[in-house]
Amino acid sequence: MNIQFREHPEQVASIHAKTAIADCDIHPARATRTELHPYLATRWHEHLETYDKRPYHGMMDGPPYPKAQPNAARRDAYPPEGGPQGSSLSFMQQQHLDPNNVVLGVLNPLATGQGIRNHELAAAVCSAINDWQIDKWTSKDSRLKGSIVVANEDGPAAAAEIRKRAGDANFVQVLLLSRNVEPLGQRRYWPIYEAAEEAGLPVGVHAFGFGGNPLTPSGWPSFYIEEMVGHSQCQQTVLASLILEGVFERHPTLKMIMIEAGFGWAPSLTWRLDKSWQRLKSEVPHVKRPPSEYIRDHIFWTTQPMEDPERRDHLSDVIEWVGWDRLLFATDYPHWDFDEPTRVLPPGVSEANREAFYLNNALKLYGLSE
Amino acid sequence: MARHVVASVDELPPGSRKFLTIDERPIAIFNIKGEFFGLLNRCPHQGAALCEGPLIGLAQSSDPGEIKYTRLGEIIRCPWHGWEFDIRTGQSYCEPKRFRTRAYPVSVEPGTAVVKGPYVAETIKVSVENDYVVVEL
Amino acid sequence: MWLPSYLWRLHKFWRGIRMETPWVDRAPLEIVRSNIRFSLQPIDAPSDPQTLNRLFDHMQSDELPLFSTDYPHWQFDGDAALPEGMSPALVRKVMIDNPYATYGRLKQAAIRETMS
Repeated sequence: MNIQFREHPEQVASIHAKTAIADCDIHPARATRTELHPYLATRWHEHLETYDKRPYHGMMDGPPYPKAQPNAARRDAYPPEGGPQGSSLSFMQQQHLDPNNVVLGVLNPLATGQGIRNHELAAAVCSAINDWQIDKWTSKDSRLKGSIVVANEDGPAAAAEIRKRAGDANFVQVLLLSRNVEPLGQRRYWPIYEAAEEAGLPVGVHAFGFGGNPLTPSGWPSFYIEEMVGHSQCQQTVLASLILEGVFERHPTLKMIMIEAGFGWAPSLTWRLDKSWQRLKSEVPHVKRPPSEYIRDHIFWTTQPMEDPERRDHLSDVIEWVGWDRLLFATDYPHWDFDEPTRVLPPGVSEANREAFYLNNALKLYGLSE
Repeated sequence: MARHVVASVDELPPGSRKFLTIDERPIAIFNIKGEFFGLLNRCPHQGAALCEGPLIGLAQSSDPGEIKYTRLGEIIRCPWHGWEFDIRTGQSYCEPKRFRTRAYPVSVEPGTAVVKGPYVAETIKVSVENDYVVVEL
Repeated sequence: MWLPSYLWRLHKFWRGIRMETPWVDRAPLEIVRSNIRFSLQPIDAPSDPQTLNRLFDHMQSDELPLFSTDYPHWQFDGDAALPEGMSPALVRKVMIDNPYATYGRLKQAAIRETMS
């Protein structure tokens, strides 16, 4: 019998990846509106039902959905038991973690308390999200590790949350977003870096966020595609700010990760920063070394969405310039711009580089190597 | 090239699709307004199950702000990155020469013809009163 | 030098969300190559000529850069308006051919002068 029928559509099984991989950007979702309630004080239940979350977002109240696909996620990622994509641990295991041999999955929850104007609510929701990560995800699957989500616009509250979770092995990093009220290098955010360095935790900066500012320095773009491309510009602002405000001078052991903004822009930004710093360093005497050195010592990038030039040798050039030891593989599951692990690298990459790219860099950065 | 009987016409009403595997190839059969199409259910981009995506129309424009929307239901959009594929040819809209999935000819045959053969052995019970959807691989 | 990676990202997304902006009826890469030009300074490239030439290769078109100095701004040092390591053919394109192709009136002015 060479024809088999299926009642329901089923995802075509991926080519089973034999390589063990680390996925440094997974987005867990809440299945229902009230899933976070057990982790939130009762007063917030009523508050959220009545006032909801009010983000820093100029010109509109919240992010537009759907974004090209429902919930900006793969259409085949709906869990069979219901709920949005990414809200079911068992389905995530079945569809992604198991077949793709993900041995380390870093959770980056979105739509949390970050970027919310009511700072007290922001802190409460962030803390609830952190509890929820442990309860629903990391305590149930040891491959998954959480990110400490913090009220980014409230330095002291954010620092307190980091200190509270500092010794907890469920978490491997602190999470920020790339769009904030001010560029991330500024003083307002320094308590976060201080607490993170103290705790020995890297800080991941994920694309998007709410700051009340346009995505681009030239105004509000009209289309979703402009937003998708604009994340890389946004992240460049973040990186330049971090370096030029002297964050790495103050925190010499802090590591930071640029998440979901690509990495192809990194070499040219580095060269440009160095050139400008050569001439303008009297404006920023606290920046004692060339920017490229700080970048070398402190910065990592996740790979998704993977650079996809027409000529694959161009990709190899860019990775050489950024450094094979600076890239952390990520899929962005369950979002639609997901990178299938077996399809991202051109052929001819050395075994050592492949292992670094897919797993070892992440293990080392997050302190999980044996 | 073999012809496979995959369903009776009643089982595949307009707007529906059926997923199956033939010779280890994942295939989907569509009925779009009475016409039948078959596609390999694998996106040439990164291997997603292409045929689980929505069927949409084709948006074209010659002037910013103006959109002509035609060919309703004839474009399938990959559930992952959203690439558009023409259900008739399997070609992607963005790079039709470079990225395409296999399109298989699908026809409707009366039961009387099917009963006679030559068709590859299948699980469908065939009766001469019905019409059947036949895909050629 | 930010251009190649920007275009890769734009192209990658355009392939999937083209329908939001269907008047973009050619790949954005092609539109840039046919319609957009870039003045050279300030050039954010490394001093190493080999890397610089790889970057020009990434642009996949030698018709994009137009020579410029940004005079009287201070961004480059004296004569170093043109980075080292560019082939003579590329230099000619950047300094002469591309500007003429872009600014239609320049050529006409030059022709008038030589004829008078």
